[in-house]
Amino acid sequence: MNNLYLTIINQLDNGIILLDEQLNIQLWNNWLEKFTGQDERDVKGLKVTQVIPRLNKSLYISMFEKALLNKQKNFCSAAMHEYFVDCEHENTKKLRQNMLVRHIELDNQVYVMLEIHDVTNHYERIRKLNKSLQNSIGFTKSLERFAFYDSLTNLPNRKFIVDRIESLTKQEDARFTLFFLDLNGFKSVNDSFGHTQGDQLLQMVAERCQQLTDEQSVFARLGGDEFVLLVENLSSAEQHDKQIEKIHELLLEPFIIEDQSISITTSIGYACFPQDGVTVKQLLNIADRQMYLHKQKMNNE
Amino acid sequence: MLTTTQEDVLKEMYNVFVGEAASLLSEILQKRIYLSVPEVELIVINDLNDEDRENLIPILNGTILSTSLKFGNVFSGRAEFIFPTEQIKYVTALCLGEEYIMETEESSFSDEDFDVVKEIGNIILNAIMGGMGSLLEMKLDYDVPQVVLHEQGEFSKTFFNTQESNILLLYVNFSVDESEVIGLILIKFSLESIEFLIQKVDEISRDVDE
Repeated sequence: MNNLYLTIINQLDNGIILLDEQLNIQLWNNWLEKFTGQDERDVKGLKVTQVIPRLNKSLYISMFEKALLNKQKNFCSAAMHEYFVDCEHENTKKLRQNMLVRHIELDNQVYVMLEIHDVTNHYERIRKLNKSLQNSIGFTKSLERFAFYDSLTNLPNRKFIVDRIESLTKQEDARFTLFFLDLNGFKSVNDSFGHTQGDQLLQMVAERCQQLTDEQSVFARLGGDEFVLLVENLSSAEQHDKQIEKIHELLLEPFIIEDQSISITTSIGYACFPQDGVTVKQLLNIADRQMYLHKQKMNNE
Repeated sequence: MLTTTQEDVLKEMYNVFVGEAASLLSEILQKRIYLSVPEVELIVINDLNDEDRENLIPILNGTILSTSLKFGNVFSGRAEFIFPTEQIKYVTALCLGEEYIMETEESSFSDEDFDVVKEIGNIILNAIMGGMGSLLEMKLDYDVPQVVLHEQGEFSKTFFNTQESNILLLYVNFSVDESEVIGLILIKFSLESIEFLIQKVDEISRDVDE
């Protein structure tokens, strides 16, 4: 073979193997010598399946035969075949190689040329990139959670509920009710048991009231001991009363904190969209005022 | 246009070809893979107006990944194996036995995804080219296919805007274990080549009738 061409083949950064019609190795370039530690003079004339045991499968032999006879070219991906030639050095990484199988014809002789591309480092990079991508997605998700959820109770927070209300007010034919809840006597729980127990009580209230959340309802914490419940498509006064009754029932059973039984009630006011207000501010103000009137009434009783 | 008999013969032929590809893929991946061609259609592009061309194959109006090769000499044309991009991740996950996670954002593809599609396309197109070569009693000359990602609608513009007006459209059911994905094969022929192919198909159906 022309020396210049041989020199070029030996400079290539991938493995080149030339097989004759009997699938014996006729060329084994420098890259392969370095990668496998096997010199060309040791492998020349040997069956390729002897030198590269991973190619000793009917599917590869049939590929080589089809390349010889029908000029059929084949591409074998690292993703589906992993690798073909073993590395001489101890390698902690999983080897990954692509292989191209081609027909070559020269001076009435036909050959099969195998081109081996080592993509191990490339795959390693992709793996690491994916890992860091997953981490950054996780970080972004935790940031999102931080932005839209209350860290104490895991309930949606003020920002979440405000966004939801704003998007609903822009929808045609939207109807919803905003219930404003304020726990009665929460301050005295904090004063007599301590803030840690107060926080625990808020978490327990949140957990019970999670039952109020479904496809058409969201239960959120505004801050302190104030919560809101947004329910879509309530129309009659009867439906509103039922919803309020349901909230009271949920809080009926006392909460047990550090062997202490704590009973808590809530004052509730509500505002309906669109009849009571058309902006978040208007609706929250009205529901808040209704809740305050309810609290006063309870205190007077 | 094809007669029902011609369509049936072609459908049967291409099912045999892709059946070979399925065996090879099953062997490589050590999974049960079935490929079938439920539908074959010959489209003459020159008979269609611009609007009809656009609505001909809705899949082509989205973003697609095509594996394509030119085959040449006496019998010539271009073959394309196409997957809609939203199915690529699913296909690669199925083939590699990985868990498929539905992504809400636009998927991005790695070289690994491209390589899997390139190899599947290569195997399927090889089987089809090899089969057609045997049928026509000639060796078809072609190279390793290229994988190209086409943005929305880009593919149709170039593929249908061509001298070669005859396109054979094959729907391919690609099923791995219990899951199924639909791909397309489009083979664009020169007029002489399609006439030659149909002539061969007619010979086969005559032999069957006798």
